[in-house]
Amino acid sequence: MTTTPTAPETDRAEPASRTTGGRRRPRGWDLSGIPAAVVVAVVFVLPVAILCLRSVTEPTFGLENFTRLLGHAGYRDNIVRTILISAAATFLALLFGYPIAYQMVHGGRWLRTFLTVAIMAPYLTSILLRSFSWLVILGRQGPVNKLLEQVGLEPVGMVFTPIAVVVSLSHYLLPLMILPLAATMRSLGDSRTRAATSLGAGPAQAFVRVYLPLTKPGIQAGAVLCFVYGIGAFVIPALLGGSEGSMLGSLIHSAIKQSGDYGLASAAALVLGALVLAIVVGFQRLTGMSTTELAGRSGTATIRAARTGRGGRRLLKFAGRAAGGLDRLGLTRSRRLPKILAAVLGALVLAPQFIVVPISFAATKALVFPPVGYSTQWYAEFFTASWLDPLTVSVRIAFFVTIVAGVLGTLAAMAVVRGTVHRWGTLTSTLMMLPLLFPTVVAAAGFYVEFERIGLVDTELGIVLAHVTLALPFVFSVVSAGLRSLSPVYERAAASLGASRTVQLRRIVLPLIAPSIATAGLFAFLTSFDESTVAIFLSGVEVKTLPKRIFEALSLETNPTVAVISVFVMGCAAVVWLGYALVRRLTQTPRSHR
Amino acid sequence: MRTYPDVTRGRRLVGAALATVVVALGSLTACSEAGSEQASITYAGFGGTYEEAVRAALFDPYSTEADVTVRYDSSGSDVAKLVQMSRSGSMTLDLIDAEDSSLAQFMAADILQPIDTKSLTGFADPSAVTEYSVPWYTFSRNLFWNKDEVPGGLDSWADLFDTQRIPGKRGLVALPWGILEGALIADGVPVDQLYPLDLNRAFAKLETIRKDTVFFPSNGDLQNAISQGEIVLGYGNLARIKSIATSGAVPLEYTWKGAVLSVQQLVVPKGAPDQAHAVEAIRYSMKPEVQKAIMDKLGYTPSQQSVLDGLDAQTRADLPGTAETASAETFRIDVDWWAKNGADVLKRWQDWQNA
Repeated sequence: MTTTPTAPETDRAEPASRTTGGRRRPRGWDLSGIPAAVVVAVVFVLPVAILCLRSVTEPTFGLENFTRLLGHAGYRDNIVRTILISAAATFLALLFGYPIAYQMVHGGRWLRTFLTVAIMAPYLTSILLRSFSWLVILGRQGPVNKLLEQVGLEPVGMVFTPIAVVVSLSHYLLPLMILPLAATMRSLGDSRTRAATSLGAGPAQAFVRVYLPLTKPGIQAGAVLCFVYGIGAFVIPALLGGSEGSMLGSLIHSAIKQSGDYGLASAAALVLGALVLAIVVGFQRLTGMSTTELAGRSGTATIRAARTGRGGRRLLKFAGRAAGGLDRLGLTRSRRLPKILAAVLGALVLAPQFIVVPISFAATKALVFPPVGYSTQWYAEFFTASWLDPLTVSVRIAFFVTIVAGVLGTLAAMAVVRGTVHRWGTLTSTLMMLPLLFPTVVAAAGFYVEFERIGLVDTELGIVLAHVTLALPFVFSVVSAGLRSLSPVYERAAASLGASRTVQLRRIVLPLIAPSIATAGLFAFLTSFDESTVAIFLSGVEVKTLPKRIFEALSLETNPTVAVISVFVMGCAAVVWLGYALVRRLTQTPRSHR
Repeated sequence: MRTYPDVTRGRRLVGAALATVVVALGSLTACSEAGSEQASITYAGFGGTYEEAVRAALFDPYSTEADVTVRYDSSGSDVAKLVQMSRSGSMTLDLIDAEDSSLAQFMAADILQPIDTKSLTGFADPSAVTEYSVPWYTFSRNLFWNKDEVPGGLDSWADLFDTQRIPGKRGLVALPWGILEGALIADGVPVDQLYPLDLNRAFAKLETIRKDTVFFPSNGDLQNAISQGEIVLGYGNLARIKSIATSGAVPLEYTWKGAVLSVQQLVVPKGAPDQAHAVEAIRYSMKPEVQKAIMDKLGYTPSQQSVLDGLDAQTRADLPGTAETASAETFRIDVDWWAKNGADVLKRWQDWQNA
């Protein structure tokens, strides 16, 4: 699931101990982080570690799997292709994302609202349902090929090629690019561009030489996030890539599920994990941004001075001169053009969302757009056990995940924000954010292989445990942010009046951060409800979640019922979002501190 | 102590949330406890339209008559996964639908439960019955093409490999048996001299169509892509091809030339939770009306002689393995060879696939 908590700032854990006038020194909350840390360590880190170990022990001890993976031209190609596809998708996301982010910050109110909706709507829809949309759009009988034929061109096979993967992946990654970009731009304002213009620069020149370099931290954060999430992609290449567009994620899946080749899968997972780690560490070295900051996806806590290398400076100078030329030609005079561009791009981002509406009313099974005839049979199909049972399972699992992750995450947040041992706090928050940054497909493979040994595959408990680790980062970061905005003075006052820690928690802290906990709970619920990668690995006959059912429908059947679910999810998302906005308004207006 | 207004509000919110959670938990446990008393078996087949047909022909009537719930899994062709499950003692399946090449691998891995088949008689080919399996129909994989995109059609395996004459995306299932044989036939190896397979030669021939071919993880994926028009020719399960052709999604044609015949068997894995009902379902599958229903729904040949006897010539002309559809190029896979070499070939196949 794709959600946006605010980043916790790990370096500000304020000791609550030097306050109470000497007589009673209330201990910190250090121990309350233990349950969550244990769960992440045992359920998430341990299986991944064992998986990594398996790469040198399965089937025999040695580097056989790595020589097979790296010595075989085909597997090497797969690794290179994974990197290239992810890089291309990142670039495309930047190309689309920059103008949109710019107008989300500087545009008029209506444009801003429209663009926010255009970015958030797909963000709330499952990656599976979006893959389905792209299957329709890029298909042989889809609108793109129809258009080509109208113009008199030959239809192009895009599905089962890297094209479909890159397009779909960049669409999926777009919000990850836009959020840090927009945050950076928001912190800039437009004073500097105005200063540049007043000094004689044309709009294009001011943009290229002043604005663009200042947004570099946002570009960097967005690019790294997109790239890291891109190379860990699994569902999109599995459904749209075919053999030509296969990536490491789909290789891991097929090695485990099709051939039971755990050794090769572990080696591939290790390579993928190492790639992600290298990128993140490299990024940290380069910019000084912390992992939690990055995983929290704001990437903007501090805007550092943009440093540009010599080559970059020369390039910038050249681009600036070119832009100056454009300015002199009067090509950039229009203030409306960038707005129109952003609006068109926003509409393009939103379009796949709606293509499923006519498909959901199709009369036949074929994925033709527009459909040949209309019927409501797929709506009827949705209301059968084949779809409602998985729906119930998903809701039930999401409920348990919300409760467990909610409690554990809140306690962990208390430990980090109200703890006294600084090192513990840093360790806990790094551990909490790990599942968000590490490729889910690797974790899913780890879960599968380890859970199978202890009989947790295809059980609700297994999926709940795995989902809890994936939901914890969201709960942890949202509740931490809430706690930070809550002054410790209330607790100190209560403590000085003799309230014990549990009483403080029950009567002061929990009621005050209830809105944060509610938000965190919503994130946890959505994370689990929408989670597809782990579900595809872990669920089977006994326990089939809705995403798993959709995956089956997409890979085994041509089934327009998936379009009905898209419509259904869109409706639900709208209701939930409105409800959430309402609750926020109701609970936050009377708050004085904020 | 003074109570702040927003504390009360927040506390009420927490209270309400807690109440919701308690109610939800209560109702959920009630939910999960219900309905676990009836006997149930889990069947592993191949999903999609195949599963629908098997459901309608066999399991729906069996389920009603025997009062057994049937659950469906689509991992029938994941031999490695099923072997792994059996070995780790976590077998959740009771009944597996296995084609003869899978059967050979299961037997080689020694993961099957012997079945008492003495009371089952009347097979058209009694030699197909083993200690561990009961044949329930003969099926085939055929070369197929989209009439709009491939006007000349296919006549042989050589045509599938002729990208000059027939351009367009080929679709194959990512399982080596049949395809390696087909590549050798296309390269000029006579059908009766296929085994032992010359793997180097087969993979070299396959290399020539790699760029034009999509390999799908399952029959269902292949069927999906054909009906979306992404694949214009290839080699696949006859029932799937027929299903697409009759649905009218794309104009599909197939040929009996080069078809691979195979016997589909029902087996019970060791450690199956409910072996008794699994065997009962197998016995049920031999009923003439079930066999007839399978033929009608999938287009495959019944294993019971009595059912075969009642068919007219026209029906037989479109059934795998009958005298009417047999040709010099139609062949059967050498199950013994695959049982011996399957694991190694699969590994090489997987490496090649990802190359």
